[in-house]
Amino acid sequence: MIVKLNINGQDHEIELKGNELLLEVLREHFGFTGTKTACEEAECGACTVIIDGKSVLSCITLAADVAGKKILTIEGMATGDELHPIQQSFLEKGAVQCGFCIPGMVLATKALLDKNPDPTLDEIKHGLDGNICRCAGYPKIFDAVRDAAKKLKGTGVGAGL
Amino acid sequence: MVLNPFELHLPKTIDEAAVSISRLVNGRVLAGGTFLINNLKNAKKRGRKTPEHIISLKHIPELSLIVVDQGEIQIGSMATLTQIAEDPALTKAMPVLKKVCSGIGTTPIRNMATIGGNLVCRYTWTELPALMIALQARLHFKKGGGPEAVISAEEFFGCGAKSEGLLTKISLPIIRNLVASYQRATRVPGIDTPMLAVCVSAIEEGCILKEPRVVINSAVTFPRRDQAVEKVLDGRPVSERVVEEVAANMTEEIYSDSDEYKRHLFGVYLKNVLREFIGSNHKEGN
Repeated sequence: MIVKLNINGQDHEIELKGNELLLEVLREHFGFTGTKTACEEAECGACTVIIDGKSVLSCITLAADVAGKKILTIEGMATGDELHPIQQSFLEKGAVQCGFCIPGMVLATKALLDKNPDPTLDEIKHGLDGNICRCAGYPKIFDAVRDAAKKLKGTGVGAGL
Repeated sequence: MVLNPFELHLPKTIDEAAVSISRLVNGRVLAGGTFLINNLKNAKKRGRKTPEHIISLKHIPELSLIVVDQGEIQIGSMATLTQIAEDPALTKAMPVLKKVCSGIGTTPIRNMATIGGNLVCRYTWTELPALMIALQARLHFKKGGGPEAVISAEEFFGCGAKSEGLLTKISLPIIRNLVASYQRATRVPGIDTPMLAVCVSAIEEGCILKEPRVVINSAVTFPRRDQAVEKVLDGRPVSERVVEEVAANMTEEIYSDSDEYKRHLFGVYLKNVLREFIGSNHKEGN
């Protein structure tokens, strides 16, 4: 089947088989390997993408089912060489250890802050509850989310980005 | 590829989906995908036969509609748990729906999982069956080109029959002075499925609870009401003494297929839920 996918703001027309998962298509057809293959059981969140504003697990999503929807991967967060404030916060706060969970964490953070620009710690934990960090780097990840929220509200460093 | 090959059907209307479901042999319906896709992966890994046809319901907008009228709520079977938890009219009419739906799974799972999938998959640990029984829900099915069939949630889960046709929507009566409360016991929050859950609904008149429904879920073979407990509770004001009396009258046979510690926990959680009604403000449906 011919399917139109909108990925990171760009339209693509692609021939797909019905059984192809979005995760496979992103990584193998488009080379967007920032979306990770990890548990493949919808439990770890490493495959998180944002579809029409909501965080979604690409390892259990059929690619053909998201035709016409706006798909955002980690590759679509930065603008050229300029990192998104969320990415910048994750770096500045030392939230990145091995890095494997980070694309999913960043996208989950974006989905959270787009909906709730000023989350409490409990709301941050709830918003990121679908993303596991095996390095157990949660405290710094939560710091990064709070810092990103400040940046995006324009009250901290990097205000106005 | 991760999944075995299948023909993917993308119906655009309820009728088209219902006809596909009745016509296609060795087909499965895809709702949110939080159960089915993992099942397909596991089946392939184990060398089991997988469906030749998958009928995706994600392209039928009317299946995701939520309508709150004066006397009734209608929730489309493809409404996601997030959609249900965040619908302001639904939360105002039945706050317990938000409480339960916002606590199932994780954020991305709730963004994908549907009320219909949670109900018809018939896994013993899904949470919405007990809630639907407590809220006197009716399930609406469309089979092939035929008329709609409606069955109460209590009958649907009580008989254990396989679903016939396509679940299109769930309707809930808005009952004046209906109160409801729900508690789940989990080992770990988030993706862990509950060990057990208890839901109580009743009509509150003053401080008296009438026509209670006490529904238990998970840790038992299928969700069901404990009518012995309901009988003790009916027409009485909830006090600590009544809570203890109710818990002492749990129907032993219902819980006998659970481990001993879970039987004990059912009593604990039943008391916890009932205590919420002591001086409560759990109005649903007003």
